[in-house]
Amino acid sequence: MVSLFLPSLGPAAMHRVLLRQLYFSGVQSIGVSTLAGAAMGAIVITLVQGNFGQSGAKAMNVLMISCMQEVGPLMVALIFTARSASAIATELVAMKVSGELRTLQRLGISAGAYLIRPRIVAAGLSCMLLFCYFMAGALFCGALATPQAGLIAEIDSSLSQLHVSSLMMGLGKSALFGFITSSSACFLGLSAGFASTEIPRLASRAVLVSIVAILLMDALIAVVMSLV
Amino acid sequence: MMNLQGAPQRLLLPCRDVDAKNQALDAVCARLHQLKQGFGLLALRGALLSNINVAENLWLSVNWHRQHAADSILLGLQQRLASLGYDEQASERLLKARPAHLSTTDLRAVLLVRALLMEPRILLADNDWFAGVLFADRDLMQRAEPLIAHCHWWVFSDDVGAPTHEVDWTSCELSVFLNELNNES
Repeated sequence: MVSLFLPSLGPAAMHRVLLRQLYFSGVQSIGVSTLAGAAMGAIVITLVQGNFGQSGAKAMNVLMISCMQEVGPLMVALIFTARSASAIATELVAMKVSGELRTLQRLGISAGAYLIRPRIVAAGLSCMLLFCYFMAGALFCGALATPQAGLIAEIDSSLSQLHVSSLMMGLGKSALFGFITSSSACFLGLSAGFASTEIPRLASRAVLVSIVAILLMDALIAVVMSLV
Repeated sequence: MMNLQGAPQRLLLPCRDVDAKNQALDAVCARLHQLKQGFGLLALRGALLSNINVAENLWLSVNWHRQHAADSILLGLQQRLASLGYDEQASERLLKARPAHLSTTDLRAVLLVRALLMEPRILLADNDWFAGVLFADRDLMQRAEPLIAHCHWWVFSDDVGAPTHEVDWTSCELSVFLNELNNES
């Protein structure tokens, strides 16, 4: 999928930035994302079965819907924000403070094209990737926590209930949240002054702004979807 | 004052303070890009991106402007480093290093190589380039002399006096120079 994007991204130097960001955000976060999914799977199944006495299949269905449409994209976005948004903002502010951004500009290299565009594209792709791992973890652990049927049977039954529209919704929201998070981190990073005290200030602000933006966007999507 | 086709000039452009110097350098770089005039940049502050190694830093500007592949410039890099006194092992070590780990002499060598890769007619420098020159730097500059002798030197200085007395500088009012450059086609 990445190779489809690469030629349209511009000079090869940008591809390296994209691949590095993908590795950092999309590959190195696989563990934490899968773990969060597994925890969420166990929590939802235990809660649903414990409080409502639903069957394993029903509980798995609740897990599938809640994680696919809401919890999954949100959790992935929060993981991405905590790990990558702060890193992106810190890196950009440090580059500005040290004069590296100015040098790029003097060399005729667009900071927007070289630093920002690949990061935003990589963020969208990474969040989609992390969402898949989150869902895999949630389904696997959810099925393990369901005592009635076998592991394979529970997963198979859940997947058979899966609608393509739900999957697309989850993937689309994850990508959108990735774009929003990385865009706000990049914007804040580039808006920094030249004092080194800007680095921690803007790193924490990037996290805060990203979380608020994600939640507002999620609420907006929920309202729009309920109206459609 | 400005004659890009004529004999190499050694222009000294006095600036009011650091901000004025940086703004002038920004403006001149932008104008030279507009004119599609190849130039080298010799400014030490924030000269290289710290999150990538030296080889990628050197490749970046060539790839951006000329779409050269990384492998295709490797030989050229090693040849230029050899002409600056770096043997094969030293240049390999230098290219793999992160900018933060470079000595000032190595950093100057890398900036010279980056400038040379763009086959410049003009070298832009700020007066910091000439400050705190070590013996090793002198040796390096002597080796670099034949490679850059044909270039015009435009040096932006926020310091009083000439950056070095070994060069016969022609001083030029900054505003006059910027006007001339803006009128250049």
